Amino acid sequence: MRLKRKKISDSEISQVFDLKKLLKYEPNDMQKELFYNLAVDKMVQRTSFGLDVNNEKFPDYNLDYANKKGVTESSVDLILTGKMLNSFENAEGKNTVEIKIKEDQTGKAHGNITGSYGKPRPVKSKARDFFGFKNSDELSDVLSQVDLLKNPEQESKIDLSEISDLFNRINIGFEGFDG
Amino acid sequence: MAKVNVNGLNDLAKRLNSKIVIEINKIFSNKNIIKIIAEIIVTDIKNNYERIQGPSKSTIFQRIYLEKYNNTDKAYRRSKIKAVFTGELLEDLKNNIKGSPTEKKFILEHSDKLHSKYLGKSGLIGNNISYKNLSKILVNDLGINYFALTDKAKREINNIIKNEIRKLLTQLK
Repeated sequence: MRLKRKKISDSEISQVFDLKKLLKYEPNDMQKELFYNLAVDKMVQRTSFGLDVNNEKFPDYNLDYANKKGVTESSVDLILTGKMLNSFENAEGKNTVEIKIKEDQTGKAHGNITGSYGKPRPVKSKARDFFGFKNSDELSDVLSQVDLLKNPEQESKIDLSEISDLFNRINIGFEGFDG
Repeated sequence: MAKVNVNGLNDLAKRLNSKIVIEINKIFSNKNIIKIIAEIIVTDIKNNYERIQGPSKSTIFQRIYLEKYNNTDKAYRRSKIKAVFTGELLEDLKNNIKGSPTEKKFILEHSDKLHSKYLGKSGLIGNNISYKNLSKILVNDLGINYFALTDKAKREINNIIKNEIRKLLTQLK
């Protein structure tokens, strides 16, 4: 399912997610909170791996900037001070979650997303669009986690012996180097 | 890239209340926990990884030369192929480990930052290479696949994760 378009301007960067549509039922407050946390986490992780909203590699840094940062030109993760990727905020509606960039980082984020970097016109070839999601498929793992919180009243039905058994089954696995 | 998976956590989460599920997810973005786990992983690799095939004669000569001009890591051994010389590569791995709450995993991957050049008799030697590319050469071309964990390290990580969950589960009682 195609997701709602983002608002991208130099004064606002945001995207609204209709959880009622995505989950096919009305979300509770916990689900909205969890969705926000996991979706932001996924966005930050994607960015730190150098991938944009289309899961394509960001355009390279120029050599001067890469040298200043002490990385290779292709090592683009949009993290210098870390402030921009730490500036998300949540504006919940009845059935929606709106992920926004805080006002003090909107200019910087807008420059990255459009490629304008302080100049009046956007430059598509330099744009590093790290913000938001295009399709609900990208959020399927987030939604399956959110769905776990469907029935908050489950608390009263907790079976401690079952919990103890499941707890004891937790173990660590290792997937080796894959390139 | 390699991954440390916490198996069974989703099955447990299905039986818990929403507040605890949210708190369990936070384990994977808790910087202190990631730091502790990263330390366990890197210490384990330093102390226990060793390629079966030892260094060639020419590698030993090269090492003797480089040892004179560079500070070597405590875990480095001239006669063994381990994942350390100065220790800088594994330091990068330690600083770049990430947690994934959706996948319930910790992801081990090097950054694209540049490895320092080694010092030689007349200054810096070698070419610029990123940690990530150096790692690929070591693993894929030289057979130094240091992305491995001993059972002891797995147990230590398991204990840390379980302790965190145990703290959360006490809220049920």
